[in-house]
Amino acid sequence: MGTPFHEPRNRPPVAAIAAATRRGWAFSSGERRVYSQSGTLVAGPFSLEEVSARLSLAGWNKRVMKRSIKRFTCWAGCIGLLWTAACAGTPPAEHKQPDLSGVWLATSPRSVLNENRPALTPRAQADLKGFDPLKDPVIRCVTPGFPRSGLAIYPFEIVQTDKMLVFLYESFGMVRRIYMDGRQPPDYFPPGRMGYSLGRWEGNDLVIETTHLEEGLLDGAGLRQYGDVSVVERYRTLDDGHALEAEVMITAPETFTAAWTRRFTWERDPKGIVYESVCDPADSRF
Amino acid sequence: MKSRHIAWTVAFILVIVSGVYAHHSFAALFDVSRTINLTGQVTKLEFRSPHAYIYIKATDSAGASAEWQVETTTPGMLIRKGITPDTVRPGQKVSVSGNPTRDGRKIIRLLVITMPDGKKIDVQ
Repeated sequence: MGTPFHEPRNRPPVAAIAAATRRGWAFSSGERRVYSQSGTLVAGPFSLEEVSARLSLAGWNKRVMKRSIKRFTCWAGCIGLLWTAACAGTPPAEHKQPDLSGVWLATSPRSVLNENRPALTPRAQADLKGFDPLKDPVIRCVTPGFPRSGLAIYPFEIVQTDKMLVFLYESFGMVRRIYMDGRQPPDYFPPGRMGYSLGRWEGNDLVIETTHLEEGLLDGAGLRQYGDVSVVERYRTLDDGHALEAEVMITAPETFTAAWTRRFTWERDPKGIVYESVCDPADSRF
Repeated sequence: MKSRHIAWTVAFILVIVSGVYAHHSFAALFDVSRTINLTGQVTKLEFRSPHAYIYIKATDSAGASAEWQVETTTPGMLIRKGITPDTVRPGQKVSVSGNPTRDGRKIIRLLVITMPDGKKIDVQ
């Protein structure tokens, strides 16, 4: 920085600055001074009024604006090119599936439990008639399993990922894994009370097929299945995601003469929690 | 000695009768085809899994006063309906209707409770 050069008072600053900038000199609006390319002060300092008048009258502002627009256009063009290049290999955004995660409270009436029940086979009819409630495994705190429990009365929580859904039931703390990754059941999977569930999205519908269910009761009244049962559930959200419904079809040829289809409903409980539900066989006094 | 035997026998029966139950088939214990009503004073609330119990001192239809065990649902379901140890306290008056036992034990499977504040709650 050289020695400050004070512009004579009688020289209009507008003309001084205009002349200076035409020669490639720089005007520092903060310091209200003009510097040469080597950094030497060649004009100023000017008063605020003088600078203001110069900026608006001498077109300096317009040049700065033009330069800014040019720079912005350049940068925007570069970013746009880079964005286009980055996105070129990416497939278009996939359809977003409904968000089922959260706690769902059963809203189906109890009557749904026996609704639409098809005619029973003679075997199932005989077992139902001769049922002894004291031989119900739940008395020994054995989990009732799916689909006896999990569709009505008690709530559940869904944990949702792209590859798996997990149903956490309040009833007996049951857990059900729904594999969504397109896999097939393993060569051997031992039948159990929750079975083996594969799920898929059909549009906005979640379809779950459950097999590998061991022989057991379908209700507390003695309706029995004989290990040949499969269940297809079709869930969809209603009311802008605040409600859920499912059409549930149970096929069990040894028990029913036709498939059994019912519709269950739930409502979302945004602040709800699923409580622990424990059962101690030692409490039983039957 | 004889009175001692009687005392032990009575104590044994009381233990059997007053026991709480694990999860069970309601049909095994209760006559779901009948409904009875009771009004009484809460003596105790067992807020536990798998089923919570309210004990009330009530007078039955024959005019006899006795303690009844009111079997409810899970504590979680009760909380959602506003039935908690804060809203049902010993000494408060409640009315209940539900299924009696098949064998006459003083246990009732709760269907509807009228809370101390007069609010009716269907627990099933």
